[in-house]
Amino acid sequence: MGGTQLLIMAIAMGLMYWIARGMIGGYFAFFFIASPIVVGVVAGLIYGDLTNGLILGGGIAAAFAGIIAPGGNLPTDSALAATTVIPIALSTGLSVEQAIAFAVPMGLVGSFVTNLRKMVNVIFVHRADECAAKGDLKGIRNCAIIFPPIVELPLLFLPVFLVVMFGQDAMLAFMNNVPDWVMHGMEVAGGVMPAIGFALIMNMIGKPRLIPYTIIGFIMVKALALNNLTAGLLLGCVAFLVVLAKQERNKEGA
Amino acid sequence: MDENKKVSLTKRDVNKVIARWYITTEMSLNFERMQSIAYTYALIPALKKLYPNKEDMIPVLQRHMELFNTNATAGGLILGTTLAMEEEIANNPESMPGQAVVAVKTGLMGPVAAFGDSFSAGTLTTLAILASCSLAQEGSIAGFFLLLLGTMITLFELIFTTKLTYQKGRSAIKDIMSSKLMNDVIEGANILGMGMMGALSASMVTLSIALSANFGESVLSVQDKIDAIMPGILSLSVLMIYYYLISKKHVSVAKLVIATLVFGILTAAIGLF
Repeated sequence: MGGTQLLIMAIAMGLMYWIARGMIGGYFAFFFIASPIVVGVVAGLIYGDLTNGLILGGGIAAAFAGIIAPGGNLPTDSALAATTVIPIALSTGLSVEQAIAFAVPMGLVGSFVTNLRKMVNVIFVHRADECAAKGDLKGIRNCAIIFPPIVELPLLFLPVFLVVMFGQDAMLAFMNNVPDWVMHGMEVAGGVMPAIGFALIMNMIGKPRLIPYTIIGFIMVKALALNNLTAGLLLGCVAFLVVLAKQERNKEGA
Repeated sequence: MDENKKVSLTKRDVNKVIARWYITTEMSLNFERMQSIAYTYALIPALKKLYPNKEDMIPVLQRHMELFNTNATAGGLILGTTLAMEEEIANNPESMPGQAVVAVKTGLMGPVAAFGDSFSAGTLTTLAILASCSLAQEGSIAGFFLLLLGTMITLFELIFTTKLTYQKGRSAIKDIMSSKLMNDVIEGANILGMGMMGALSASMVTLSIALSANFGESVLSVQDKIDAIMPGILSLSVLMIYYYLISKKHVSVAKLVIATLVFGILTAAIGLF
């Protein structure tokens, strides 16, 4: 990939990351534009290989599934991983496993960038306070939707643009020099990582007494080989029956 | 009070507030007061209707600039309640102090965030993402469209919860949050959520031991032996270890990811995994 195509790719990836993590468009940006699948589709279309874009995007998205942002803290950022790794993987012919391996450390860099953004935005809270005190509605609007994206443009767009534009050779050189066990180690980490996301959600539910249901769910899929949808339906029925039983017990008690 | 003077929000006003909130919730997200600018900005169309005189609007703007942070789409529960309360105050300032709105907001943002993050974002959206992933990994564009559909679930959640709580008025949220039915719904959602975390771990988390021992002609794979105890017991243990570290030791997720990366490379170096 070179010349105009590379330039278009770098601009597109930079813009996607800016929209995704500037969260321009709320959860639509956060879930959809930020998803490695959508990044894969866009990068695939630009590169002229939609199928490979989808395959790479799907693989990276799966590794980061379950990682949500409780309280707005993004622990590791699949969007930065996708926007930087997918274009390079397409043009250098990385396998999905290799792409995931690179995506894991990139995700960490991303969480740093998104925290930086929240620090910068503190400026606008104080500005918005002043506007509120004066009843300046336009000022509040500017602090809500105009200033943050403008300030974030260099913060979010530029790093991705530069990595995609100039990272290809560095990535190739790295690939040729890094020992196999480091690559394999990053793949191992990528395989385990979804568990962090799931543990995070369990922690948010905050009811350790419900852990037996986690084990039941695990056994249903692993040992009984049910697919996730079937397991979900079964678990939904279990949840319903348990709550129903509790209600009836309460009625008898009353 | 004088019925003629009663102002009430139209459907259009509420829709405008919902649209503003959905699109801009996290744009001005910051460490000091999180989503407060977005919340204030989202309410402006409603406040313009309620307070034709701009001077009267100032204290309202100021009280919504206080710290606010919740799940953006389940947050409709709070958004609708706020609209109902602000409408009541605008019509009859004696009905309750303005601080009551702030109290309700800050009181509810935690529980609503826990419900929204774990149920709608954590379970529903994650399921949609995973289904899209497996389609995309096969190279199918259907994964793209399924993801779009999955994203819309949360938008419907926001619209539904906002309209529900606005129409039922300010007492509704108390009734809803403290009612037995709501408790039962949350308990059921929690059971489903906890179960699904196990189910998803089973299909998503991969870890297997590469070590094997040679006894003459037969090769003894350690992984086969472990699978004989219980299939996937390694993945389940990993999940439980992470859960323990997060909930009991309060280890940050960034640290966990770094530790996982280091652990992966070290164990790969000695050929364990």
